[in-house]
Amino acid sequence: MYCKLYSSFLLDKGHISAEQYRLIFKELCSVRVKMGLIAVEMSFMTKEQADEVNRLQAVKDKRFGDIAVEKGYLTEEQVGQLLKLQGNPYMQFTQILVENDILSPEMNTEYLKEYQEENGFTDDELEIIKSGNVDLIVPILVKIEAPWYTYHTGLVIRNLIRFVSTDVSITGVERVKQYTSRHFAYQYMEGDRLVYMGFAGEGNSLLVIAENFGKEEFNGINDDAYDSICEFINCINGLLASQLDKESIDIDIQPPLFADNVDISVDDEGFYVVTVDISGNAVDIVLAIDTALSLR
Amino acid sequence: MVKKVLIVDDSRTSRKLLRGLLEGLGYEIAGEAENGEKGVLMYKELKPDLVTMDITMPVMDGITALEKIIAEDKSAKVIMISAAGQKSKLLAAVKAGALDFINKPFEEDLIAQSLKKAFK
Repeated sequence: MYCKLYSSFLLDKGHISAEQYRLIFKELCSVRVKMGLIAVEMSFMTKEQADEVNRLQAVKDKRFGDIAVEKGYLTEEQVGQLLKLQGNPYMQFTQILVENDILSPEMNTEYLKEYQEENGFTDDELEIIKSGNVDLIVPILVKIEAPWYTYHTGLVIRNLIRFVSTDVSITGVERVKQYTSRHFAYQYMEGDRLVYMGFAGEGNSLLVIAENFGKEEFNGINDDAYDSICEFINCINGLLASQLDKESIDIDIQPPLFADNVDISVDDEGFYVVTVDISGNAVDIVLAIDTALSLR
Repeated sequence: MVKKVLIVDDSRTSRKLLRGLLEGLGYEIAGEAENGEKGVLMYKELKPDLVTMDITMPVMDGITALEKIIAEDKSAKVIMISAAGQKSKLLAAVKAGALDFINKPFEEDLIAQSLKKAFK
């Protein structure tokens, strides 16, 4: 998610081109971060030291970390830390920017500062976003005070990443009293609490969920596509119900439903719409807790 | 002899994914039912070796269907595969005679193990 959020920022600001943006995501699928780059990023080694070890690695057929320790550039403990960071999305992204001459490390640092300031993130919040940990990122991006909404949103995002696409980012959060959508698949649960959760989208945007979860192609948002989306919603809400059960909160899951051209409204304070970008498709997550949605 | 499985789930997607998974494990699909009522009728007709049963379904839910199948055949092997994984559902299923309870989204390994255990 960090990669999508930050690279969208870079594109919007004109710091990278559309072609560079596409290249980043093409590379992201296959990159494995080089330890030398992380070591320099972490200020464990200088660039010259990392380059020397890279050259020696080619002739000695030894691992980077082993050579660096032999030469006294790194300790074993530092090698351990670097190994943990190799899967870090921020590091993967930085490597792509540097290796493809998109941005130098210095410019990346400058733009990251700009990104931080523009979004009002604290240093700790920025580190969390760079970590790629969805559970910690969601509360930063979805600034809804009720923890239930934040938890439910996190559950939806985690399962979108798990079953639909790793290319998911939150692009907006709104509290509304009225909402319309061309396509809407949803489920409600009742009992100790009343909970609604659904996906909404225009055009064929919901197909990204239907096709990736259901592992088949559909000719538009037809009944079979809706069935796939509804089953995905069912799985997510089942996980929610199981978690709430552990907290002795009992809710009964109802069969999921779907509709075209819906107009949703409430009489009270409103419900939440969290907009996500899933591989370039704008999808709305509709969430309501203890609020009865009226659908027309 | 190849074991035959009846899949009962209101979701076409879920039935399709489960069918693919079970056939991949070497089982034959005896039939598919989209609600508990049809599931009970098909059980009587097809006499499958095992049933996978969802819980939340229209017309007749999975627990009710399970009770009717067990009333019909005390030796029926039924595994619940459901998103509704609350303890109360699990207990109701076990009390009604289910052999096992697997939460959705299902994982192949867990289903494979559960069916293997059911046919031991």
